Amino acid sequence: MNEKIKVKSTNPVISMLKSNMGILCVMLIIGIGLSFMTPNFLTGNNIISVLRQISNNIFLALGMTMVIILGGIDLSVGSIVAMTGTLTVGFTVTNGVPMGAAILIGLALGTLVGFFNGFIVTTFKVPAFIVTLSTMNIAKGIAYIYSGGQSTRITNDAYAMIGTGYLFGLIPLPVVYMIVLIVVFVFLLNKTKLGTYIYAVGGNRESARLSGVPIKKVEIMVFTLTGLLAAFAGLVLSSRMYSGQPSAGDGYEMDAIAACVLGGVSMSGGVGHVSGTVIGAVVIGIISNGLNLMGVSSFWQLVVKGIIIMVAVIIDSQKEMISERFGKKKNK
Amino acid sequence: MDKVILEMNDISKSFGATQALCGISFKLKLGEIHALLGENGAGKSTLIKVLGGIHQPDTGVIKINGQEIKMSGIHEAQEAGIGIIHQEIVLVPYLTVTENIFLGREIMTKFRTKDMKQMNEKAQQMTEKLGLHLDVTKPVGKLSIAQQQMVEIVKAISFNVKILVMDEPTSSLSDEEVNKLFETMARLKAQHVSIIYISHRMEELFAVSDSVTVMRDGTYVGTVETAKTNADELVSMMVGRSLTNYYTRTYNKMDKEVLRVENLTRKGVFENVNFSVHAGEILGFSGLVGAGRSEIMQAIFGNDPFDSGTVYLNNEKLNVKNSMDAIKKGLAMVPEDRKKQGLTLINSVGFNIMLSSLDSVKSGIAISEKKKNQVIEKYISELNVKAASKDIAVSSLSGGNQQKVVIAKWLATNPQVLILDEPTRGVDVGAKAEIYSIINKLAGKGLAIILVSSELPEIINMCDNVCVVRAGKIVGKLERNELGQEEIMKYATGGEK
Amino acid sequence: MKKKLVSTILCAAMTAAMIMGCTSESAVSKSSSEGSSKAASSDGSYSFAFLPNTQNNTFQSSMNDKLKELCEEAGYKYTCLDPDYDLNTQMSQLSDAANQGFDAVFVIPVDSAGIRQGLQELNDAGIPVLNVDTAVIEDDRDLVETIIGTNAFMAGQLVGEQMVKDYPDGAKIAILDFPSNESCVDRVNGFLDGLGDSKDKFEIVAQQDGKAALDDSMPIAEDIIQANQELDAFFCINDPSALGAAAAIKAANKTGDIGVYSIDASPDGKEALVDGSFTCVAAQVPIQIAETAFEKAVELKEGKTIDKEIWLDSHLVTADEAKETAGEWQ
Repeated sequence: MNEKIKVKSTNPVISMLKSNMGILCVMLIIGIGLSFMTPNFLTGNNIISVLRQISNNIFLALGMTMVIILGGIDLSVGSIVAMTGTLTVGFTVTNGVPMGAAILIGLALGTLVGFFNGFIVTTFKVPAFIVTLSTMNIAKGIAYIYSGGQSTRITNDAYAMIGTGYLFGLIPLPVVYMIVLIVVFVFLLNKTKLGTYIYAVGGNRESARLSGVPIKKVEIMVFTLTGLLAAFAGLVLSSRMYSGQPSAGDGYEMDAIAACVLGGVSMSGGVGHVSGTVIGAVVIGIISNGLNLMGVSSFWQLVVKGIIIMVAVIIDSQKEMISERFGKKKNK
Repeated sequence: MDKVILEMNDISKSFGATQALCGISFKLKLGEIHALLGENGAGKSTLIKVLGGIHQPDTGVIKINGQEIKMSGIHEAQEAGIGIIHQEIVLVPYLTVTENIFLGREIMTKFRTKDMKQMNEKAQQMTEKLGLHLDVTKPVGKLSIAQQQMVEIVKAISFNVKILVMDEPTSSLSDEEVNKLFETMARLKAQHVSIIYISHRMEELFAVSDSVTVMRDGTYVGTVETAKTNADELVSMMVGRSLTNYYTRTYNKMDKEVLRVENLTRKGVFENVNFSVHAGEILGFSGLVGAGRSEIMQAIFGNDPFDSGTVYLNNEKLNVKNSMDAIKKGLAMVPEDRKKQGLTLINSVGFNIMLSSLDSVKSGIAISEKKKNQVIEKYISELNVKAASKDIAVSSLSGGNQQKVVIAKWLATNPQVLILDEPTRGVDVGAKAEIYSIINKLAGKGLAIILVSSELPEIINMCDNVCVVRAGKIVGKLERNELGQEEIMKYATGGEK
Repeated sequence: MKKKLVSTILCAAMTAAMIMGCTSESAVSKSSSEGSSKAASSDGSYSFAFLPNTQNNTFQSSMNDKLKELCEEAGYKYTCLDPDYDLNTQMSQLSDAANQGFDAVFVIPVDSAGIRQGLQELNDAGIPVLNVDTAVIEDDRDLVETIIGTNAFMAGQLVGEQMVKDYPDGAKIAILDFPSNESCVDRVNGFLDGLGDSKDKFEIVAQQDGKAALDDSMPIAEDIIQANQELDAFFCINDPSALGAAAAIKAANKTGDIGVYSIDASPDGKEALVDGSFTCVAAQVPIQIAETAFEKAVELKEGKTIDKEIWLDSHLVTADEAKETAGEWQ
């Protein structure tokens, strides 16, 4: 009873590395393997190119991380990408709305879908899976209805800048957005009240409610932010494609979920870090990049990707089992 | 009666660096109820898991009826006639009583379909045999917790069990239900089933067991016959020293009234509840489980609605719509179910302590790590929370320390009124004493405290005044000098005894 | 609660407004399908039906527009049934068409090998089937009167020949293909054939499945550019894929350094040709297909025999032609 009470603080970087140990190893193994197998992997240009490619998935995965930590899921993000891209480009090109206004409206509508998700989930207590499955169809439908299913080209230079411009002529703007957003969301999840509340609700809803956590507000906020992120992803993607494509974004939600799961975000809620998700997205990104560099056919890529994801998740779960065996002290 | 059915000799088991069991020996006689006693972490559950084939011991042998048996899995244990009833109920709520009992070994008709008729009949027989009258075609989820527990027992026995292990079976039962359970245990005993009974409740051990084995820190302390021992001896065996002042209470002069409740009513749940608490007072709420005590507290805390009545805080009408408002106004509530309502177990000690008072450590929109740590460290040392670090998950703490974390969380909100709903449930003796001393200190600091408890000694030794609740009404108000077990029970049961 | 209510209504209103604002566009393809239900064939006025894959693609909707226009001019009845890429739906539509007694139907199969049963039903009902654009498999050809499409092989050939002219000394090239579609495979084969004798001078440094879609092709093209710093040109099997390659080239700041060779000449593709994103594009001719199909259907009804296979010539689209026919197919 008189043992000294230790109240140590853990270094955030070390704890980040520790909690992401499994997936970090996977990333390093794949990275090292690829740099031996293809000489173009570790070139500056390719690294920038990979970063640009994963930026889109990261925008979505950041939101998805929050939603999954909260104990939910958001299947509508891919469709929001398509919807926002199609509407924003369409408003500008077809309806002659000034570009700035069109972008704001596009972002607002995407955000609105997110808000709607959160609103329905909290108000009617419908599982997020079902609600977002519905909005996934609705948002996609809106994109198709508006565009008649056809893509719209946009040649406006200012619009193209959003996704294809460079900072200091060196770093692609999507990569800049990505870094900024990662910083923002690491901060949000770790340093703000909202972040703590997200973990609390995901960890134990009832306890969070009794502890005075405004659960509904938190949930609506998270889904809305996820909608905004997806809308932003749609904006950037449409700019990179120089067109609004209603068929874009198909299956993007799955890549985002895969990044989260690879990064150790628990599907049962309460557990996960932005850092893990980012590494997960990097792993997915370098796998397809590496396989493309090596010229592996896309059919085989699917198989390889599937296997790597499975192996990575198994490694990660084993890690948990090992730490459970030896890490925990007395079990009661 | 003296035939030894189970013998566990020199059992040791370690997990990594942690020695969970160290040379434990344990003997169970045929048809006896043998209590296993020890603080949380003493190794009781590990020993049971070794017996149940969930863990393999590093050393030691298990003999049943004198024959050495190797338990390499749950299946072997079942075959050897060992049935375990866990603390948490593990029935499938949507299946009927019968379906649960026969899950995985359904009786089939010759058409390879489930023979529901025969199974229902058998299930009915089995439940009747234990004096349990219920509809076996009802889904288990619709039964009360106590009934579900009985179903678990029926299920365990249906495996032709010779040794039944019950791990804290009474933790969520009312007194009446506990008595029912004891009757059932007596019946089983008459049928030559040997029972290992794990519980924290001293009075239960004396009511039901034949002998008691005490464990401490993974070691065997001793076995005594229940009839030849007393609570003090057992407690000192458990904690390794004698606890002189189990209850700490220095009565102080009650200050001004802080909280007053007038005519609080929620139709069908409670009605016309009137009481007030003063600064420095500990007001007890006693009564049977299900009398509506927790519901009243939940309503005051804004968590449940109420139909009419008023709550005054410092003579001002209090209007709370949810727990958020209540916390802002200075109310705090340690809820009844620590694991489900009190904590997010997967999160850290620090996380849990700060959850309700993040506003106080914000600088701008960010949470200041420094301020946060100051608060956390303050409460960890003030309440003597034993944790390896503030970043360790709460789930790895013992029950008592978990409860201290819950209390710390609420103290961090700087409350004027602290509601404690069963604060010592599932907490071991040592930690219980500590929690009493914490409560006493808080009252001394001028906090108005409401203590809801089903343990009469706790109410009698800790409270200034006591409200006894029966069927949603306050049926008796007792002052300190009137407190006594019989007195309270008389009001609680409505009996004239 | 009030706030929530307002926001819900707002949300509903915006969605509704959006849908209503857009119906005018989608109504075009819808109304045509609601047009005729019963067929009358006596008085020299025919009723035709068009069963494409989808109307969500300018290629096929331009065919629909052309057929509709031709039928209206001739005073024939015309119906378009859109299965939206769903084979099952197309099967039921084929069977509906058999029951409705059209004088002829034009079919673009959702799956080349998957519609035999539907074709059989039409045959049983005595309705001639004109297979347009994408051919059904060899085995099912006995059930269709004719196959009318762009000569995909030739389109590929033309692009290949042009590439030889542009890079007489050979080049490092990458191909974005779409192996699950037969016509696209023909285009690649035609392209390789078009390289002809100079074949050995061209090195194919990468060949990947671009899934005929912009958002799939772009990242693949980016990776190919990274892997092959000396890449000279992309050959893409259609315009969306080529637009993806062009976007990737732009992102890598290599516009003009890497050529983009495509097949389609869709409105978007023409625009890209005019602004220099594309180097060369061979035409697909949906409108000509529609015209030919209409013509042949009438001939068939008049009792004439028609060719079993009709492959319409492709041509390389010049910048002038692209400007002239901007926003349209050919």
